Amino acid sequence: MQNWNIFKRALTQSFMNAWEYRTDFYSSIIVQLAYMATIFVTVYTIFQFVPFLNGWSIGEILIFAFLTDVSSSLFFSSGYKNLIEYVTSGELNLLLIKPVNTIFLLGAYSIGIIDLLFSIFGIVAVFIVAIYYSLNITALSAILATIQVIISIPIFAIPLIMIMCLAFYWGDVNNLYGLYQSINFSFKDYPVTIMGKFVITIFAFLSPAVLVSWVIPTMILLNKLSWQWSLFFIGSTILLDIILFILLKRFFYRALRRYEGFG
Amino acid sequence: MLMVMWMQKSLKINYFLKQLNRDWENLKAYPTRLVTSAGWFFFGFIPLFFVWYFVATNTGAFPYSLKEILLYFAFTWGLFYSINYMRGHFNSITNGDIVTKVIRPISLTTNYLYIFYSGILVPKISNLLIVIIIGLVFLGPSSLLGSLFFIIGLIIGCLVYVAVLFLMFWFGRNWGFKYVLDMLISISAGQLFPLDLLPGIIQTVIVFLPFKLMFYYPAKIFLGQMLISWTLILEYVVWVIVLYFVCRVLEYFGLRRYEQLGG
Repeated sequence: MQNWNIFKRALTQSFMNAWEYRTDFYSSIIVQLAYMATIFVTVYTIFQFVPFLNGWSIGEILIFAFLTDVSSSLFFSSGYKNLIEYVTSGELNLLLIKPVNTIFLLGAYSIGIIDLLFSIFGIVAVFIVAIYYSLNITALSAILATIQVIISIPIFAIPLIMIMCLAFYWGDVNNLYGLYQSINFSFKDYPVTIMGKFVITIFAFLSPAVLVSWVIPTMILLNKLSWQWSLFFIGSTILLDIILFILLKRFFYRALRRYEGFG
Repeated sequence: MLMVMWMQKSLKINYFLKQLNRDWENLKAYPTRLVTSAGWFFFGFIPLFFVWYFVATNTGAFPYSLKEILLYFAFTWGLFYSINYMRGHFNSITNGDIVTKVIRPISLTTNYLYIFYSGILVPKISNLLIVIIIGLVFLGPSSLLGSLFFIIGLIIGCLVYVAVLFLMFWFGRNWGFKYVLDMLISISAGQLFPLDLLPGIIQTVIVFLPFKLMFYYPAKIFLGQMLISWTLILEYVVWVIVLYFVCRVLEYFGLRRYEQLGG
């Protein structure tokens, strides 16, 4: 209950901030629309020459690109993205002295309402594309895909947070963080499944998110997977989430012992 | 000799050399930045490779051969740069930092041109070498010319960014405006795909803009699809002069309304 209250307060605070700097708020909306337009132009340019991209139509690729945007925006709306800065600058001290679970507080602290708004934009774009291209989406597939999008965020986020935790040992690890992020982001606009089994195996091992968080939700939404397989993936994702949460908790508190509180 | 003396006097080349030296020392202090830069290149190129491999091998109407399109993306993706690289400088107007530049015995335009040029070129050295080697192996000497024109085109790119920076005298901390421009420049410069693949109406507009000189023309020269002519060199020279003039006008009027106060 205490955590819920903190989350609500952080959300309200973020909204007030966004509303105070309205020009930034409106312009960020324009940026997101321009970004979506860029995705559309890119995909449209490719599909001028081919009707399908290794089994994916133009509408399906657009759905994929916008849905991955929903997942990543949800992660970037959390405060975790600033962990390296908190550790290297000593700003983490402020969070450590509060009588709340630090891992939770890190996520709620400096939550970004604008990124949350971007994820809503992504959902709207998915609907528009689905209607325009008359894609095979059912109520069941939409529900299952929504569940998969939400539960697969930790698969994308926890490895990134664990890399950021290395800042407790090595200081500024922005380069390493950027390198790992480049793996995820390289497969954000095109599904890894169009690239052959070898690439899928390598990159699903390096970053399971490119498969579990990016491709599987879209395949569930587009009914490219049966509901039995969809439930199997949802169950496996939950199991993986639990394992990753345990690993994160252990690693975070172990790494915290190295924290000097000064930067 | 007179030309060199004029450049030394009016453009203060020694400032540029100092800036280059500073960025080089910075790079030596943090060599992992080169690894990150190469990592983005490598991981980002993989999906592009598969997507364009599929497009080039599955249609007869595609204007590029498989080798050409892959080398085009090796060039543009390897040497990719955007306003984002210089984001630290874009708040210098609103937070008042720009006053430390105004007091230098060099125009703001030239000062920022040097900062941007050196700040982009030095960390790109590893990628530039990779691109040149790939080009020499697969294409021959045209790769050297293409890389040379990329370095010349970088002047145009940096002058465009300086102009956008000076627009912040009017737009303040409006990062949305800056990112929308960045996306438009990315498309118009041919960073995302060759401009001749774009729908006809977009091509008609882009042809009159200077951005094509940043990536598209150097990439075409790199591929050996464009010959160096006096007209081409003149086009580069004219745009450098025009953009420099535009920057100086923006600098003049921007400083006139500047309050030198911020936080």
